[in-house]
Formats: sequence, structure tokens, C-alpha cells
Amino acid sequence: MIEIKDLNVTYDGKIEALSRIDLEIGDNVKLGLIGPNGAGKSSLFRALTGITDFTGSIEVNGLNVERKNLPEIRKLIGYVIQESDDQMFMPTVIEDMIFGPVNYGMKKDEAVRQAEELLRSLGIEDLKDRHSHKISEGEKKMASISAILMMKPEIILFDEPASCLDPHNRRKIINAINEINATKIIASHDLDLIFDTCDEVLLLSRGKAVKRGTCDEILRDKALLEENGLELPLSLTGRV
Amino acid sequence: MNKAREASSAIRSVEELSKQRSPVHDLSPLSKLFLTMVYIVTVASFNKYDLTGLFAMILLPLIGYALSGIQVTLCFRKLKVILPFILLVGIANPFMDREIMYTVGRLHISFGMVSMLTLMLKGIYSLLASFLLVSSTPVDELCKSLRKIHVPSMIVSLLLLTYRYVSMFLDEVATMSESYALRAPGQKGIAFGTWGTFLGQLIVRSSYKANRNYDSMILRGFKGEFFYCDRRFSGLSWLFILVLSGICIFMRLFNLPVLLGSVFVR
Repeated sequence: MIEIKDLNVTYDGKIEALSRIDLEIGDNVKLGLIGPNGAGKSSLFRALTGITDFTGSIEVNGLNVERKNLPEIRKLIGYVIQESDDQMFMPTVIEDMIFGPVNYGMKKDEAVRQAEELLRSLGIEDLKDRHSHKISEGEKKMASISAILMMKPEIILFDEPASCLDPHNRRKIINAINEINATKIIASHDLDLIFDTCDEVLLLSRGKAVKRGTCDEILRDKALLEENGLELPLSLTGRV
Repeated sequence: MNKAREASSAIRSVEELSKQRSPVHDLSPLSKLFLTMVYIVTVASFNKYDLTGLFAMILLPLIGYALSGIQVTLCFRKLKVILPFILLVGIANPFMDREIMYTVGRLHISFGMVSMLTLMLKGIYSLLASFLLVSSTPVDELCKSLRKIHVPSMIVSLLLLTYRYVSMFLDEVATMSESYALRAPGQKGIAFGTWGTFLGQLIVRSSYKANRNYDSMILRGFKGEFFYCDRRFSGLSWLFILVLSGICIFMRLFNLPVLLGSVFVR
């Protein structure tokens, strides 16, 4: 359960990335976060994980997002960063996958065993010993999601999970996201992906929460979307 | 290929090399670190005119390269940038120290020439030994060895992060210079007037990227100390290292080529 009250994020003291956000996200909710560039989607994720300063309050499962609680909060929340290269800093996929669990005290052998099992269940066991700089974008994305899944988070934040992916890999990511059993918040411009993976949608624009509703309510509202720099999902335009 | 990208890929290929399997790769990293240090100190301790004694010291790295399956030429190819500096170290010696040491036919060899060659060999041998160490030992295992000999965690983490940062920095250089070249056709390299901006942007961009990497690390529980590889190594590797260190010291104390020569020439 996430409770956000009067959240404000400002960069360099003048750029207002988020302003007066009040939000409640229950357990096992699948929430899509949409909005044009600069709407504040990534800033919301950064605030939730405590890597950016904010004013207001954020509670995750009853824990305030503040310095002393950060280790626990970061164990609860997994954050799949938009750029897989920023996330994967260990030389091989398996080393990157076990980085989190070992830091949280899991024995290395056990972490490796679990990582192998996870790779098998995702059908990407061939990535295990591959060097993270030598795999394709789609593989990187799958590997970075696996690295987050290894931490068994209760809440997962996905920042543009399908950006730069071809249709086949995009579909693979959508299927993988749908298989995950956790609270999911997915930020994306790909409204078709949001339609396929989420139950609810929050529309952000210029740092403010514009409207929250079901996928049908928000994603079929052409006027609302266009007013906020977005377009109807392709699957609803009749062009596909 | 862009030179920066080439360099970054060279670093990564050494890392890949270090993960192969061979008798040398399977030795304990701490023992390899120890032996490399003993070897370099021994080589450095040779008298500057003891060229013949130094010749025999090539044997140890050559055996190491043969057992590890790594080509000696690969070391020179990867480190070709450093080689000229090593070769230039003693370049002034023949001019400073002209006293004749040997005469071979009509050729006079001065003390300065011998000391120049000795210095070059010392540099090359140290380079060979260090390259063998890094190409047969993954960097995290090396870091673990440093922690075992009580090098402070902060220094070891800094070393490991710097190592990772170098590849990332080179990738940024490559990306920037490629995009520069695409919009500056016909130019060789980067125009002098743009160097300042280029360097400034490079530092800003790579530091942003390093920050994003760091964010990703702390999000997964990083608290300042890396976990390092925890492979178990047999006590045999220590025995092997002790024997090799003994040979190393023996070759320092006794001039092996002269000893062998005296068997045949009386």
C-alpha cells in the first residue's frame, strides 16, 4: 500500500517536476502512469524510492520514505530503470541479478541457484553468463526485469519498459509483466502497453495529477488525452 | 572502429579472458597477486648492469602464459600505448654513461647501453607479469585478494568503481566523438576550438551516467562494500606459488645463464 500526500519535487530550486500530488495505491493494483514528456512520471518513481528529495509525505506499507527507512523501502520496491544500461553495471547478467539479493544478505550460492531458476522460468537461461554490454536491447530489458524480480519486491515500478523494443520483444515484455504477481506501477507513453498490462490509469501533466480512472475511462477519452499531449492507443483508433 | 570504443572493448576483452579456465586461472587470486608482487620486486632489484641475470627472469612469465593459454603477443598488442614509454625510460643512459663494458668484434657496448637494456627489460617483464595477472584473474577476485591482505574497503571499492568507470567513460567518449564526426565530415579528430566544450560535456555526461549507475546500486541494497567472488581454491595453489617464489629468488641470487654456461664452457 502506497500513500502519497502533498508530494512536491523541485529540481535546482526552480523546476517543479511534481506539485501537490495526493495518491493512494492499494495492494496488487496495476496502475499505468501516463503523461507527456516532463509530466513527472520518472520523478514520482525517484521520490518513491527516495533517490530524489521531495516535500510532503510518502508511506510504503506503513513506512515513511525517509533516510532511516530507505533500506527496507528499497527492499519492498523494485525499480526497473528506463535505460537498462544504467541499471546493469555488473559484467555479466547473472552477476547483475545476484547483486541485490547478496547485498541483502542472501548466500551467494543460493542467489545463483535462484537466479538460474528465474532465468529458466522466463525462458532466457542462455543469457546467464552473457556480458551485459553484448546483449540486445530486448535481452537487456528482460535481464534488468529479472534482476529486479530477484529481490522479490512487493511493488515494482517500470519506467518505459518497452521503449526501443521491436514488436516481438515488446510483446515478450508485456507477457512477462503480466505474469508478475505484485503491485505494479508502469510509466509509459505506449498506451497500448498500458491497456494490456494495467487496470487503472493516472494521467499526469506538468507535474500535476490530472485524472485517475480505469483504463477504459482514461484511454478511450480522446479529448482528455489530446488536451494533455497524448493520443488514443493505436488499438482503439481503428487503424490496427 | 572509433579508438575510444576500441579501448573500451579491449578492457572488456581482458575481463572476458580472465574468466576462462586454465591451470593459471584456477590458482588462488591471492597467491597470484603475491607471486606477481614477488616477481616484480625481484626483477626491479637486479643490478642495472646485470643483463645476463635478468635474461633468465623471462622464463616465469613465459611459463605462465603457456599454461594459461594466453598469447604473449596479446599483451603487447593490448598495451601498445604504454610500450613506447617503457622503451624510452633509459634512452638517455647511453649518452650519460659511455664507458665501454664489452667489445664484440668492432662493436663497443657501453655501460649506458647495458643499463638502458636492463631498464627496458625490467619494464617489459613487469608489464608481462601484470598483464598475466589481470588477464587470468577477474577484477572482483583481485579486489577480494586486496581485502584479504587488509587493504581498506574504501580503497578497494574505489579501485573497482574506477575500473568500471573507465569503460563507461570510454563509451561516452566514443558516442560523443562518433556523433561529432557524423556532423563534421572531412575533419580529422575534434577541432581544437571544440576541445573545451567537448571535455566539459564529457565530464558532465559521464558523471550523470555514473550517478544513475550509483542510484541503481543503492536501490539494490549497496552499502559501500562490494561482494566479491567467493571461489574456493586448493592449498596446492599455495604450494605452487611457494615453489615459484623460491625459483624467482634463486634466479635473483644466482645468475642462471652463467651457471648453465659454466656447465658447458670451462
